[in-house]
Amino acid sequence: MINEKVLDNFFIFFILTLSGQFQHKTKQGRIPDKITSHENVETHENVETHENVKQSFISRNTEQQRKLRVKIASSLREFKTNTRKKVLVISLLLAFLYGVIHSLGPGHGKVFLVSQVIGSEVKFRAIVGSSLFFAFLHSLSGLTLVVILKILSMKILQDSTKVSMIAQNISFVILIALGLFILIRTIKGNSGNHHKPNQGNLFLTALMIGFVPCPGSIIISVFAMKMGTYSLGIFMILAMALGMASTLIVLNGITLLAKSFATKAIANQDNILKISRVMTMIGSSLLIVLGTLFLTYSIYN
Amino acid sequence: MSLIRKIFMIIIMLSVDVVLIAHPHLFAGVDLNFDITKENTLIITQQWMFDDLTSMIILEDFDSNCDNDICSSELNELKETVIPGLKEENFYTDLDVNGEKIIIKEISNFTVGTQDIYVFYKFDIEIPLQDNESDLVIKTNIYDRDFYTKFFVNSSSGLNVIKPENVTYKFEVYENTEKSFYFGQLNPMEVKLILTRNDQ
Repeated sequence: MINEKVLDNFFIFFILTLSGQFQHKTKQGRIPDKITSHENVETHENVETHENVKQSFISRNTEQQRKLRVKIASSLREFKTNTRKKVLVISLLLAFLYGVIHSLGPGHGKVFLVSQVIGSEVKFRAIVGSSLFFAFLHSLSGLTLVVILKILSMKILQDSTKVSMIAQNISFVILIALGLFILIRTIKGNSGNHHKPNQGNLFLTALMIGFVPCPGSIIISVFAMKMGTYSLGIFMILAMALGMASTLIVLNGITLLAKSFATKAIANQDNILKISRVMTMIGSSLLIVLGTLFLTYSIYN
Repeated sequence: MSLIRKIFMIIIMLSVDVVLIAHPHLFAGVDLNFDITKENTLIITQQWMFDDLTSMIILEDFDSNCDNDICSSELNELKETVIPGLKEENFYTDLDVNGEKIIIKEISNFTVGTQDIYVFYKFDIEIPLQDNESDLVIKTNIYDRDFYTKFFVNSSSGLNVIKPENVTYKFEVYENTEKSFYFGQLNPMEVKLILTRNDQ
């Protein structure tokens, strides 16, 4: 049995690690304290840097992604002339790590999967399955898009973004519809059925967000194509997908754990069905609200 | 910490993940050159040096003869494709001269080249200055509000000034917390250039 206090500390650590993103809010209106200045200097040796600003989580994540992209590009270049196992293993490890870091950053619709973990009666096995399903679909969509754009002689930089935007908006519409469907079914339905495991919604959500092409895999595909290292490119995309799935499994696993603790804390035999019903309604409402918000934001932009 | 609160915090944390498309896609280092030697004109030259992977995509799209460079005919195609989008975004540049916000209507001398394996865009922005202008404070923020592109200002070596001898200058580079973007999660790096004339 895990001690509640240990879990508490783990949660605080986890949230604090990831929520660096909120810290700059407190700095609004302050005199900037990260200043680099030089006065009339022809060389830049006199530059003074004060690294006092705590970088947000997204800034740190972006910087890590940038560094990894440099290493991935180098490894793909090296593989062109040196096909030794060591280079291959390093390349795949880099791609896996990029997948982990990349999926922790903005995008990938993690929040939609989380809403379904909250809203559906799912088992950890289903989380593993849906995360893998999503990650591989998301990555392979990117690869497929590059191949289609090349066949149609379209511009990857411009047209992949356009296609991704359209796919994203279609996803939002379907997610809203899915949320409405689940919500109406829950309100109308027999409460006795709601305690049954419902993995379908989770996989359906994974399918809806997974078909939006992953820019990370688009970039690796193009680079591998350009370098002529096709097989390594494909394996790196698969390794990246595995990395993305790992992040999602951890995030959704934690959500499931928290949900199970919360349910145990407030539920008893009498109200467990009611709690389950409420959770489903929360999950589906999240799909509707978030889907609508993000669709509006996407169209507005 | 209550369990409900824990769940709430996770949801909030994940709510920043508001889009399905991952960000950023592209990375570019920015060099800025400020030239005030032309009469009543400020010329800001921007150079965006893209990272390895982005450079490769640009070449894949526009380098038709596969010589790893952009020749003049390829440049024309690139200009036609890229510039309208950049213009819509005000060239990702928020510019403020002595407190006045500048809308960039046109750019000049747009070129694309390669340096080693990296592709760069280079262009000039010309801003008319008033006759009696003495001291100048120029604030430049280069950032993509949608965070498709991450711009890094090369503050240690990428900032330069071309000026008359009687002018002194000072650069300050800092995070501008008043221009937070991408759901308030990021701040652009503001480059503040203070130019002072000493002949008065």
